[in-house]
Order: sequence, then structure tokens, then C-alpha cells
Amino acid sequence: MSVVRVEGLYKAFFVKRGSGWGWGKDELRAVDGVSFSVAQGETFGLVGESGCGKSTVGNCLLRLTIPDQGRLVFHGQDLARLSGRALRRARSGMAVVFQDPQSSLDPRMTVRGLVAAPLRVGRHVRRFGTDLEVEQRVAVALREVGLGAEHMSRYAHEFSGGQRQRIAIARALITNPAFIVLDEPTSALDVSVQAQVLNLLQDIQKRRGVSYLFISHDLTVIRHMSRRVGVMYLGVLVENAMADNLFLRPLHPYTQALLAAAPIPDPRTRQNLAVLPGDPPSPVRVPPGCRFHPRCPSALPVCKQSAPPRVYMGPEHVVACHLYKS
Amino acid sequence: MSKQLLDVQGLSVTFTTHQGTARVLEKVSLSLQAGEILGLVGETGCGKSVLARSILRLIPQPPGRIHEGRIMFQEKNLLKLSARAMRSVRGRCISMIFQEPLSSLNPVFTIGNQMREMARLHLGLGREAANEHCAAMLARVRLPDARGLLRKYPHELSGGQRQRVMIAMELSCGPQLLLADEPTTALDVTVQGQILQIIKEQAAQRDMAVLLITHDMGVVAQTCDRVAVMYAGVVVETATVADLFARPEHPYTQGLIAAIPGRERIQQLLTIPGTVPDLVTPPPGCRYHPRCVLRVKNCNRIEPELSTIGAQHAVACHLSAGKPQENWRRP
Repeated sequence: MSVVRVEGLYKAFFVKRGSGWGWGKDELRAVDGVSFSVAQGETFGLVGESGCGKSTVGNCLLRLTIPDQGRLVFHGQDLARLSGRALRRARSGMAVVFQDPQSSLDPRMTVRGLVAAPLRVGRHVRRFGTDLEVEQRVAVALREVGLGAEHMSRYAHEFSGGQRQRIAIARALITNPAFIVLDEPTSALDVSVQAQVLNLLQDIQKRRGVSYLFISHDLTVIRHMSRRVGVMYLGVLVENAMADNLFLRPLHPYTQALLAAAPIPDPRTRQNLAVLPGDPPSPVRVPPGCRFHPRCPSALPVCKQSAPPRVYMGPEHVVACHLYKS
Repeated sequence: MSKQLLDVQGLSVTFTTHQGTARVLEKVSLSLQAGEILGLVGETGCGKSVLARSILRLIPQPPGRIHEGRIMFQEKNLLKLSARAMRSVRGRCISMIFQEPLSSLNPVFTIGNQMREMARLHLGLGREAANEHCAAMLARVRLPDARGLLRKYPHELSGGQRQRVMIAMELSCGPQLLLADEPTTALDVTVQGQILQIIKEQAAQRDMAVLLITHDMGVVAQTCDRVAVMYAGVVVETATVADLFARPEHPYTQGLIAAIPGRERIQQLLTIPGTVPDLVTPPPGCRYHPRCVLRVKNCNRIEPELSTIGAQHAVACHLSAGKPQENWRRP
């Protein structure tokens, strides 16, 4: 049973052309026809380089960005078509943790105010004032992330980076959501603190059966956290598979290059890290055909002309590449 | 063992802050030979960047102050050089690349303008010769159309191209030592691979030493020859890369390696409890003892010294002191 299903998501932004004067606008296709689903209690990892559109997918799912086309089914409702009270009710079932708690936590609010905010915004409790119920629910949420009730009256700047991210997680948990978008939740943290936060997120999932969309550029973190993984390149989902399959038998040449370029923390296997020439192209000038063909080591003539179809290479393993036939 | 190119001995640096005096580096010692890549790892705020900047005497004084120690580079103590002599060392003999190339490049001058400045100043080349030299340098870091690139401004390049320009610029005067402060942290994985490969190749071709500052153990494992691990301003362990990963000796190093996700599919990551201490009032004795799971009774009273426990392997820990040096392994 899937909690969230994304079908043919499409989102374009219009950006000013060049850097000087003029009125020209370019279309930047941030997300171009992405489809996937997240089952109950599972983690779907979304991995890709900067500018590939992975955060835009997360923002569309939360309706922080309004998608241009496509369906976002959450609990049987299409989020893309909801508004007003219905949208607010649907949003109470989902939450988000952003990368940098420094900027996602208001410096002028106490931890009590920060963690209780989703309750007020979702109209679960009175808009203003504090009562015993709010106090208790905040205390429970803080305890769940390893903080104490004595932290409630403090401000975000009084905490370390890891603790701040715990506060952000407590805020995400307070409405008992069924689905949480984790947008690079540990990228701003040091390794030892990152491990604490990742363990916490896994414990919470085990206890509550909540589903995660885990967005990251770090392959090791994605592999550790996810059951299924989607790889994005320039707005397109190029491969989508169970995590073990993807990491052991990557099919798409981009996935293969991405895995080969990630430094393995083991000096016994020496890698040649320069596997892929060139830089990712600008998403404003997307190459025709398969978007990866200018950098692809095994590009065929057909790759320049037509976008590859989605090929099913086994249960739950989808790859968008001309090299494969189902 | 060949001659040391860089030898830092007992370097202590403090910074004056509103909260008090922070002891950012405490009796740090490390050395580098020609052609060697030394990785310097540690968490945020452990003093890695301050160490690199102290070598070039780039820390602002005040609030910073170098209290004691020696930085011997080619038999000269850099801390004793005049400001003028120091200027001829920077860029010429020792150069440095930073994490964010966009803030190291001047946005209002072309790449060529900025690159030529170094070649003309340090190598005394004329305008045309400097142009030739810069184009050749850009080609060596695998940037196509080097001539055209010299006429471009930094904002016209991608992040990976900018970092390659920085490397070309810093290598243009043939330094014997390159200080690379998180050179790939702001870059994507595939581009990071290209940059690390270039640094490795250039180090080998020119017999140049590199001090590579990073927090990524994967980068260390794949690029470095030796590693120094820092914690809260102290070097806690130095070893060859193979030794460090196979036989990490200091409890902090062990925790750091165990906390890396994704090597094998394991259920729970091992973590280091607690957080990095405040350097204004560091814990007495071993600075790691409040978080250490293996601490013994001396740890909160006596500072452990960095002592040799094997070939090129030194550790600052009471647990390892006084043990026989040969054939010894942690049970």
C-alpha cells in the first residue's frame, strides 16, 4: 500500500536570461516527468547532483511549490488539486526536515514555540497562547528525539548543530505525520553527529511506521537509509530500484559513474575517481534526446535523437536508457 | 627516511574571543616529505584550517596569536621570517586553495588578469610570456580552450571549472607545498573525482607535497598517503592510510571510522556520544576524555603525548602508551 504516489510530475521555472540587461526569460525544466511511489513505513531515497531537481520534487510533494502537471496522490487525494481547508488537513499528515537547521528554525522563537507551530498552523490547537495539552505534546516530541522538557524555553542558537536538527525532527513529528520529506537532513553535520541523527531517524521509523522521502547527494547515506532508491539527472528519474540492486548492479551509465566516482572509505580498494568527463550541463539548455548522452561513455546514435523509454528490468527495477530492452 | 620538507613542531595558537581565550591549536606537530599527500581530518572547529593558515601566517593577529612552536620549511623557520620574505614564500613555494573558489577569485577581473599577476610577480615573466604560461597551466588541469578561458570572468565558469582554475593558478609558480583546504566539499561527486585525480597527478609529476584538509574519510582513503587526525585542536593520531583504516589506535579515530555509513549494510551506525568541546574551556587532561568510552583514570588529569607505536604510526592516548611497540594490537 503506497502512502504517496507521484505520477508524471512536471515543474518548470522561468529564469532571467544571461546575467546582464534584457527581458528574455528561459524555461528551466526542474522536474520533467518524474513518477515513483513510497510505501508505508519505507524510505525512498532520491539521489543526484546539485541542480538535478531532487529538492523540487520534495517541495512539490509538500505543495510548497505548485506543480505544472502530474498527480501527487497522498492518502487517495490529489494534492496538486487541493486548496484551502482540504489542503491544510492533508498537510497535517506530512512534514519536512530541511538541510540547515540554522535557517529553518526561527531565531526569535523558543523551542516550545517552534515545535508547537505545526499544531497551531494545522488548527489542531488554538492559534495563540499555551495550554497544558500543547505543553505535554511538545514534551513528548522532544523526548522522542532525545531532548528534555527543560530545553523548551531555550532558543535555537543555544544548541549545537546536531541538537538543532533534533528540534527540527521533533517539530516534524508533532502532528503524527504519515510521511516526512527529509531534504538533506545531515549534510550540514559532522560524521559522528550525522550517525546519531541517522540512527534517530531509523528508530522513529521503526516505532511509528512513518514513510520517508530521503533526499541527499551522499550515496553512502542514501544506501544506509533507503529501501528503494531513485537516481535523478537533470530533472529526470534515470533509474529506480531496490537499494541493494541499485548499488550492486547499477544499470544506467550515469548511476554506474556516480557510484564509481564516490570515494570508498577503504584504502584497500584504489579507485580511479575521474570516471565522468565534463560538468553537468545547465538545466536551462538541456541536451536533446537522452539528457546524459554528451557525457555518456556508451552513447548510441539513437541517444541524440529520442528520449529513452522507461524499461522494466525486473521487479521494481526501472531504467530510462536506450541500452536496455525489457 | 628522506629529508622533511615541512616540519611543524609544538605549534600553539590562541584566539581572543568575547567568551575568553580559545586554545585553538595545542602543541601540534606534523611533518611532510616532498611528493607526499598528507590528509588532515577532523570535525568542524577542530583547528584544521587554522593550522593550514598558520603555516602561511595568514591568521589575523589579533585576535589570533601564535604562542609557541616552529614551522620549519626547507630549513627555515617561517615564524621568524620578515613580512617581505614571507611574501615571496606565499604563492611561490607554498600555495593554498580554498573550499569556495568563487570567493577566492575576484569577480571584476578576468581569469587571465588574475593568473598573470602571479606569473609576472613571482616568475618575472613579460605579458606575452605570462599569457603563454597561464594557458599551458590551464591545459594541464584539463581545461579545454585555455586561451578563450583567460578572457572570461569567474561567473561565466561552473564550480568545477573555477576550482580547476584555482589549482592551475596555485600551481603556476611550481610550489613545493600545496595546502588544499576542503577543495572538493562544494562540488558534486563526479566533479570531485576529477579534481582529486588532478591533485594526485600533479603531486606525483612535480614531486610536490600536499596537505589535504577534509572531513570525508572516503576522500582520505582514496587520495592520501598518510593521515593526521585532529580533535579539538590536538593531533591525536598520525599513520599511513592503510594503517589508519586497518588498525585505528585512538578511540576517536575508531569512532570516526565506525560512524561512516554505507560500507556494509548494517542496522545501526556506531556513534560517538556527546559533542565537540568548547575550546575556551577545554576539558583537562585528554581533550577527548568526556566522550571516550575507553577512558581510564589518568585521562582527566594528564595530557597524553603523541608517541610512536609503530612505523609512521603515532598516537596520543594513555591506552597506547607503555605498551610494547612491536606486534601489539588492540584485543
